[in-house]
Amino acid sequence: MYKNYIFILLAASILWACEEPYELDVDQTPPQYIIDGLITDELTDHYIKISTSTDFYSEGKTPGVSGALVSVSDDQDHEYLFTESETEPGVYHSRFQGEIGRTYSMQVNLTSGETFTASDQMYQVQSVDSLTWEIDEKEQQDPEEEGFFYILRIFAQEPQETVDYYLFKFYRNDTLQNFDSETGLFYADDELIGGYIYGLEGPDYFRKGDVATFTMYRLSRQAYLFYNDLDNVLNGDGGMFGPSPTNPRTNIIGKDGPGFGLFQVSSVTRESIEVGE
Amino acid sequence: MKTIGVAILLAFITLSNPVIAQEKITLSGYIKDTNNGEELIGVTVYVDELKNGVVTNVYGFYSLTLAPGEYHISFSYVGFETTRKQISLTKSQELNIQLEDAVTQMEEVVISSERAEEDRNVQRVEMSRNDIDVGLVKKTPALFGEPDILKTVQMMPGVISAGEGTSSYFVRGGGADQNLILIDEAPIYDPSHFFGLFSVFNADVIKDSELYKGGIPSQFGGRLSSILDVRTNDGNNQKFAGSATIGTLASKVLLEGPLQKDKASFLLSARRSYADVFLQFSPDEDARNNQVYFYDINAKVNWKPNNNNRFFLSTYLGRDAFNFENEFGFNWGNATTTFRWNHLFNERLFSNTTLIASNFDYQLESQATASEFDWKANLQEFSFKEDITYFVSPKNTLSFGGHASFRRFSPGTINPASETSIFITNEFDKSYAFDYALYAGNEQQLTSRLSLLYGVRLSIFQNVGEATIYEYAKNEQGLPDNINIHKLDSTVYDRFEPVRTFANLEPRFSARYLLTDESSIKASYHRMVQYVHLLSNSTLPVPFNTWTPSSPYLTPQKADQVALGYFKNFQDNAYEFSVEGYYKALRDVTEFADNANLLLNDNAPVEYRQGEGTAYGVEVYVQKMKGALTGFGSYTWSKTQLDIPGVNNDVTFFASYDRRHVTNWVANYAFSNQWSFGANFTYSTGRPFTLPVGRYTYDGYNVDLFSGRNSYRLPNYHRLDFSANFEPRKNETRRMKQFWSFSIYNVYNRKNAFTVFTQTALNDDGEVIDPNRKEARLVYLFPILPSVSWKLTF
Repeated sequence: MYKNYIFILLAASILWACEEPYELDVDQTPPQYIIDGLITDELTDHYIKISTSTDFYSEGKTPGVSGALVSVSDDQDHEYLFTESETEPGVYHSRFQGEIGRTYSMQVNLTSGETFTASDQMYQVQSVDSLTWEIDEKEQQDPEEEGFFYILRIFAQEPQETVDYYLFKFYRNDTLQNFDSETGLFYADDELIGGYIYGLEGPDYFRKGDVATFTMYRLSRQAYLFYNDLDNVLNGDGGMFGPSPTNPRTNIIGKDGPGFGLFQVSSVTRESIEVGE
Repeated sequence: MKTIGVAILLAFITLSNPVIAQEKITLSGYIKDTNNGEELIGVTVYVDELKNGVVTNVYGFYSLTLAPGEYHISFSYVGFETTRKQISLTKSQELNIQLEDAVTQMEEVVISSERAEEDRNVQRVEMSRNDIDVGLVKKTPALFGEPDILKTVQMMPGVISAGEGTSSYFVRGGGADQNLILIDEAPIYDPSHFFGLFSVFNADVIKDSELYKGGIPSQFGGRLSSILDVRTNDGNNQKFAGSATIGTLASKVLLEGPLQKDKASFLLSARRSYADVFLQFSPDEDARNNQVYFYDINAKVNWKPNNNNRFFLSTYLGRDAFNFENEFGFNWGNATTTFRWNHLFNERLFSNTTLIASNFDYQLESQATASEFDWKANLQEFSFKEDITYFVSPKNTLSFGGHASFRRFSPGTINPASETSIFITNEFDKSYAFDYALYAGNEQQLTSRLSLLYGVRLSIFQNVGEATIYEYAKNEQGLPDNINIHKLDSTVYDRFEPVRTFANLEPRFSARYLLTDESSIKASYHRMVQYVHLLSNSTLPVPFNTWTPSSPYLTPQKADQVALGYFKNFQDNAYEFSVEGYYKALRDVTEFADNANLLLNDNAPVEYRQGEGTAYGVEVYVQKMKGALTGFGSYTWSKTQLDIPGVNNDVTFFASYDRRHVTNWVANYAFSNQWSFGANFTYSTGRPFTLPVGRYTYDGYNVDLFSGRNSYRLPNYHRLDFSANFEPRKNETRRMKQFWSFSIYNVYNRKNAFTVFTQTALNDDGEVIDPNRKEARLVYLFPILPSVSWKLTF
């Protein structure tokens, strides 16, 4: 959480900066396989998406990788086979419910002969005590967008005896809210956080009648580091005040070393509220 | 073993001076500026009969030991009239000299028929040393019209600016944290105001500043790359004087005068920015609540009860503060105090005793609901230094001394700033260290052509308790595992109990061989050891980076440098020219793991990585010292590569401070007694940059794919600035004098890349056209910027 303040600080330091588009002289590089998988403790169609990277300036969606053999097994010898979606190539699904405390391992065999493995453990997430909404009076006087001046507040507990990592997502009527940005990412460790989260503010403003949803995923340290690094890539400044960008650390292992993406196993908690009611 | 080395050196110096037995008498004294009584540093005292001389030390003192006889002695200093004395020496005697300011000569440069003594470029044994001419700094163009010596330091050969509008600089393949910056001998840990737009150095109070890059004398140590030694004025001891300057972003006042004529004087100066004053008139209420300012205060008193004793007390205090809409704020500042006692044991034994206290602190605070916090951190240092100069003979000047300091590193305490804040109080472990050094060096003239400067420094660094040192589990590479952090063991140390002691012998050597009266070759070698490390993995350090001592987690960084140079003066020393080459080998350079998290991280040691580096380069420098046109030009070709296990997949990479070509030109032309014009031009290869080689999708995010670190370059940087200085004719007859300075920064309005970042492509209205398309954007700071400042002196 504190990390966001540092970005504000750095932005402030270049208050007087201007910017303009800049053409990078990019080389062609062979595409890399990207794996994006999520297993939760909800009974749902879990997904593992396989795609490839493209050139920096390419347009359109990155291509999915079809025909792979995808499976996930847990440490109690359960195996779940994933089947490719008929509508979305490269997206593989399997319906089951993850269990807290289990370690899940992914196995991906591509038609090209490449294989990828990864494993991650599911830890217990805390439930949210309550969500409330509140009118931001300053914003109400002069809203940037008509009607959008409600803010969301979160009340929750944070167990102090364990070291925990979280990923948060906010939705407005099922649309992901990202602080008005394509690259907003909310994750935290609990190193500096006390036992009670008392009215932490959500991103963006809501309108009366919106359904606001707050989702919290419990992460492993490895997954937390991936999001931390992803944030550096997405919101870095090109290595001036921030670190030189590098690929995120991942739990995906290919034949010749680390792959790209993340196989995330999380327990999840969700809370919704109708704003203004 | 190491003390034996010092003993041998001392013996060598003694043995090489058999002349001591002969009857010798000493001529010594102080050299001052008639105008204000300021002691002058680096004045050449030349004895015609010996064809040799000495220069005054940093306190304006000189001492010459001669046989009795008749001597013709001249005292010369750039910008001052040379004074000549004929003296009949029968017994030791004190000779204090006052030099007159050279009248601005518009007609023609007077070419002296006698041998000029202003050829220190050629004569001086030291190489890789640059005097930053404050007079020139004040006359040449400056960003927002505020003269800044650090911006001039950034233009010296072998020095690279860390970026536009910053105070950080890189010297000969070293990072920004490898430069020791001293103000009146006290270290400044962060020299920036407004993140580097200005520096902590107010040009009005600076007397002398010297940059050492190679063959660094043994009295200096503690950093790998360079020493910037800045000395402030002592205050006019002749009459009360002062000045007031109104600038574009900041204004300042200076008062100085005698407390007791010829014996005691004071100097007080204060500077403050006033952008926030204008914010009060903003129609936007939020902007009125913003707070953005910096200030600094320099205060100094000195008292000289007699010629054998002199006391100084100087203080610097500076702070930057930013506050946005009462929601988020931060501030940082340096405070240093130096007490010095110059004492003459006899006319050949000069002693300087210094006590230093230095504090650097920063604070961040947030008032955002539920996440209110307050974070404070600081670094404190207390030092004692004893420096002794023994003027053995005109052929030998021996310097020796010791240094002891204690440092306390407090990386921070974070406190919740409300009862409902999510934060809890968290205090990060403090570190403590003692630092000792003993040094001895001798400047020795072997023949009329060959002179040496050699010495050795023994540095001892002790990381002491209270401390808890953890043993962290290692990864497959044998480096601390920063993915799965496991503390295997811990050791607790009591207050002042040594945790780890490091000792290093740092040899220093320089030699100068005169080819002709106007040219010389010089060679040097030095070893430097740095015991403190800045936890920063960015190109530009920010004030919120913390320093940490060498400890079981971090080995001291070491650098060995050899340099060779050719020095020549032309046209009766009107032009100075030099070319130098250097090669530097770095060991245990501190870097950090890819994606290291260094901020508020209790387990930061798992992110530390150390490795090797190599840096080499060639520097050319030309300076014109006399005449209506003065200035300098420099060109540097350099290369710096790092090889750090655990960083960039163990592949060698260009340091973020690597630049291939850099050239800088600074000129000032005195057009008339009223007008002078200045210009700067700077050109540099772009900063190394990690280029995305592709993009991919993860959970709806459009992510850059990278290959090697720093394998691409940002566009080249270049910029031209102009300035004009006007002094009304009426000044000649008035006590109150006015000066106007006008400058234009970035005359041809180049959009120089400060950095380049990537994002989802936006159209002109800032909207996403296609969430899958990416673009790179170039950030530039300053367009063409005019500024004006007005100064009044009395």
